[in-house]
Amino acid sequence: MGLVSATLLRSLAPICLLIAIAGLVMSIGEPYQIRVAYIFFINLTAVFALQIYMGGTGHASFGHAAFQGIAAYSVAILMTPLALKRLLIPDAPFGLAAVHLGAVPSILIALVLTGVIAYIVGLAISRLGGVAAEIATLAFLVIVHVIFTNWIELFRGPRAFYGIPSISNLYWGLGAAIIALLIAKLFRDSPYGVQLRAASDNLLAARAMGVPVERLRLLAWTLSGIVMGMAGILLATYLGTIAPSSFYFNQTFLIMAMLLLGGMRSVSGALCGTLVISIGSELTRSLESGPVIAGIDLPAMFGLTGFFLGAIIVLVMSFRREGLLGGEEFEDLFRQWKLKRKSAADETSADAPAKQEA
Amino acid sequence: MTIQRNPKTFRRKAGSAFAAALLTTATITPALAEDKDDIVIGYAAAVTGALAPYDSPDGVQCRIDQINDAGGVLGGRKLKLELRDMKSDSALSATVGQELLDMGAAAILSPPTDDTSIPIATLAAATSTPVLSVGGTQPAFPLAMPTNGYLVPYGDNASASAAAQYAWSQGMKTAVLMISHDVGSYSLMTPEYFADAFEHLGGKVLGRINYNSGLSDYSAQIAEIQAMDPKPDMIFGGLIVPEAGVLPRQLDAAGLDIPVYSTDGPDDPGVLEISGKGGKLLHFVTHGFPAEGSPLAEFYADCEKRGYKVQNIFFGLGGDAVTVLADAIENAKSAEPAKVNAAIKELDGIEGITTDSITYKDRKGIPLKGMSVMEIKDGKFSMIEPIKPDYVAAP
Repeated sequence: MGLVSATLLRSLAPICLLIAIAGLVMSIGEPYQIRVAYIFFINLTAVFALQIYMGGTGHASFGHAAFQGIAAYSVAILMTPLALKRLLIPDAPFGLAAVHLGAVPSILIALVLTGVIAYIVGLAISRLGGVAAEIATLAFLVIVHVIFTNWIELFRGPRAFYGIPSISNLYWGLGAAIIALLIAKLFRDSPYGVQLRAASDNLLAARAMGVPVERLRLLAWTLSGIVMGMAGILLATYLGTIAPSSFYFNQTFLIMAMLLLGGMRSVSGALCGTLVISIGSELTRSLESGPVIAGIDLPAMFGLTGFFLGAIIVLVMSFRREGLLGGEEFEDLFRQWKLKRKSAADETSADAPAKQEA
Repeated sequence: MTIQRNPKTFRRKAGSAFAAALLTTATITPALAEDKDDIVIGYAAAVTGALAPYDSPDGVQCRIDQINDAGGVLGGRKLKLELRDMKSDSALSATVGQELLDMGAAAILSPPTDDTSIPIATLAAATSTPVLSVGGTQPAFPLAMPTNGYLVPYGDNASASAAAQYAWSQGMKTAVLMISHDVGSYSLMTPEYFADAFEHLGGKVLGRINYNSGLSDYSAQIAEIQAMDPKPDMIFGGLIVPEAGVLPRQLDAAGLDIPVYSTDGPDDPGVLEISGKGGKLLHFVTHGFPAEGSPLAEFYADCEKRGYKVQNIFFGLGGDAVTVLADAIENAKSAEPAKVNAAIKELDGIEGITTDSITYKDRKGIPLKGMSVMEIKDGKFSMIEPIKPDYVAAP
C-alpha cells in the first residue's frame, strides 16, 4: 500500500471522531457551544502544526503562534473592505490600503506568505540544535510581536484590527483540522519524518547514515508554519477582530500544553491532548459561574479552569512524562491490543488440549 | 526506584474519567432565574488574566442589589446578573458573549479593551443588544460598533483634553509626550489626544519620548528630558502602574521639578508607595473621587456594608454601568434589547455614581461625564477640582 493510502486508512478513526464531534455539536449544541467547538478545531489545527515540528525534531518551539499571527494579519489586510481599511490603516505601505481581494486569493496569499517567512526564518533555526533552537524560536515570537505592536501603519499597533469578514463556520474548522491531521500524519510516516525522528533520537548515528538533518528540520519548520497559518486564518475569519495579544505567550503555552499532555511524538497524542484540555476547560468553565447540579446550587469558583489546567499538566508530567499516549498512534495501540488478545487466546487454546490430555 | 504502571489500566481509568466528565457536563445546567420576569444583565468580565484589574463584577453586583432592594425596575421586575469569565482572551470573550446572548440578556457588559469588546458587539448587533464596556476608555470600540457599542467611562480623548485644560490653567505652555506601544491605545493614543487639545489651547509639544511600560528604571528617558533645551514645562503620558510612580520618583531624585500629567492609569493605591517623595509631581484626571458626602463615597460605604470589597475606581464604574442600564430600561418601558439600546442613545444628564452627570445623547457611544483632577498630598490621593473639558479632541 502506498504512503498516502496507508495514511488515509490510518487516519480514518480520528477523522470519523472529528466529524462526529462536529455533527453532534451542530445538531444539538447551543450557538455558544458551536463557538466552543470552533475554538477547539482552531487549537487542534495549531497543535497538529506544532506536532509536525516538535514531534519530528524533538525541539520545543515557542515561536509558532507568530505564524498564526502572520497569516491572520495577512488575510485581515487583504480581505477587509476598502471603506473600513481607509479608516483603520489609511497610511498602509505598498498601497495596501487600496487593495481588496476575495476570500480564496487572500487565504492562498496568506498561506504562501507565511510559508515564505517560515522558510527564511527556518534557514537559521534549522542549523541550531537543542536549547539554542528553542531560544531562537522564542526570539522569533518576540520579534514578530514587536513588529505587530510597532508597525502601526500596517497592523494598527496594539489596537484591534476589526471588520474582517466573518466568513468561516464550524465546517471550515473541521476541514482545516482534518487537512492538518493528514499533513501531520503523512509527514510523520514519510521517509522524511522517520529520518527526522531518528535524528532527534540519535543525531550522530542519523548523520552517519546520511540523514540531511538541517534540510529535514527546515522542511518540518516550514510545513508546520504553513499549517499554523491555517489556524490563524480560521481565527481571523471567525472572530472578525484580531490583536497582537491573541498571538503571543498565552496562545503559545496553551497549544504547547495540549501537545505535551497528549504526547508530542504522535499525532494521535496531539488530538487526545487537545480534546482533554478543551473538554476539561469547558467543563470547569461551566462550573466556575456557580451552576445548579442535581438540585445543588454551587458557589461561583472563578479561576477553576486555570487550576484544572495546571493540575492536569503537573499530574501527567509527573506520572506519564511521554504524554497520555506515550508517543504511540491509535493504530499502534490497536495493534498492541490485538496482539495481546491473540497471545491470550493462544495461551488458552494451548492450555485446553493439555488439560484434555491430563 | 522506578514505579511500573500498567498502561492498560491507566487507559481504562482515563477512559472512565473522560466518560464521567462528559456525563457531568450533560447534567450541568446554568443557575436558573428565580423568576422568569427577571431581567438578565450579562457580564463578560475579565475576572482572571491581565485585564482583571480593569473590570469589577462586585461593583456591578452591588448596584444590582441596591436597585433590586429598592423595588427593581419597570414596577417590580428584578435585575439578575449572569457573570462569565472571559479570562482576558478575545476568542473566549466572543464565546462568552454568545452564551450570554443565548440566555436572552437585555444588555451585555463587556471587558475593557477594543479587541475583546468588538467581537461581542458584532454578535449582539443582530438583535441590537447594547454592549457596554465597563472599564474601557478607548474610543475605538464605540467607533467600530456605532449601533450598539458604548463606553461606560469617558473616552481617553475627553480625559486627555481635560488634562490639557487643567495644565494650561496652571500656566503650562510646553510639554513633552511619553509614548509607549505596550498598553494598547491607552499609552499610544492618549498623548496624541492631549497634544491635540493642548495645541488647540495654544500650548506647544516639544517632543515625543518612547518608553516601555512596566519597567523599574526610566533614567534613560529622564536623561533625554534633562538634555532638552528649552526644558518642557510638563510631561504627559498614558501612564499606568508602575511607571506612573517610578517616573515622578526618579524625576524628583534627579532634581527635575517638572510635573507629570496623566489620565486614569495612576488611579491605583500602588502609586502612592512607588512614587514616594516624587508623588508631589504627579497630577492626573480620573473618573471620580470618593469625597465625603459624594455619591461615590456613599456607594462605597453601602457596598462595604453589604459585604463587598471595594478595589479601585472600576468598582464605581461597574455601578455606573448598571445605573445607565436601569435608567434606559425605565425610559424604554421595556427590557427588550433593541428598545434598551435605543433608550441609551437618548440618555441625557443622568446622575451617576462616579459623576453627577452622564450624557450619551449625540455622543456616538462615548459618554460626556464630569471628571476629577487629582494630586498626591500627604501620601494620599486628593481631589484638586472637578472638571469638564470645553474642547474635546476628536477620537
